Amino acid sequence: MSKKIRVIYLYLVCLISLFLIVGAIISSVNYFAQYFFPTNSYSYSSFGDRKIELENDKIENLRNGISSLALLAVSTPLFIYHWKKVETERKEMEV
Amino acid sequence: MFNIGIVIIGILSVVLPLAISILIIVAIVKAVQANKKEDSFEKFESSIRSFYVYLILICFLFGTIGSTIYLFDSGMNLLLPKKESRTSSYYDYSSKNYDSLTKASPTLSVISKDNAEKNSNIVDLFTALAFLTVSLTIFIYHSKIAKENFDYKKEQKLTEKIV
Repeated sequence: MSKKIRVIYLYLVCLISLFLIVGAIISSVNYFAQYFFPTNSYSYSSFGDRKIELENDKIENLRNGISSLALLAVSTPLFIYHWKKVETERKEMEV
Repeated sequence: MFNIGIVIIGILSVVLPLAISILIIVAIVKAVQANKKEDSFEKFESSIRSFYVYLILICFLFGTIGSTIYLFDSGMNLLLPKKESRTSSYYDYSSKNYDSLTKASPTLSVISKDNAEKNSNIVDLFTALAFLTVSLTIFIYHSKIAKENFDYKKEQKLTEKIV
């Protein structure tokens, strides 16, 4: 029974980390694209305020992009480690 | 305009818990069945594996379809932007004296708005491209695994028949 629970655990971690990887890649691309191509128009603030708002938005996007990259950096090794475990155990079973 | 936040929240908060709960339920059912039939551990592992693979395949098939539609949508918005009527609704708020609202020349605010829309479409395009690339890669990789599994099971059945 413990072997079965182990298998379920391994596949579950692979599934969760794979979804995390996808989410992290998409959000990091989105935030870095927003960093290089600002999307807010600021048409109702004065020119000085607009500049400050633009700078703040850029910093916010950069921060979010870096946190998405951190998520990617954590979830990718997690997925690779568990997927390798699954594959090696499967090969051992086949032999 | 399609919001990327909806996609990410959709993936992480709806699809993922659903997929996990389905995987757990199937695993429990399979484990109970295996205990009843005294099936081998190998069969249990292969059924969980094939379920995992097909779950990912279906998720990323829809991901590929959705991202393709999203890519076309943002590409069309970038190539053929909607034209807005710029008649009487532009006022200059730059002088902080709001009592004397003067009608402004539409240059500064309109250009920044146009640029913002264009940039937003570019961001959408990049995001859609990333989504499509990732989902297509994962889909192809897992479809290969599914094919290998299918072939392996076919071989096993054949050898069982021969024996």
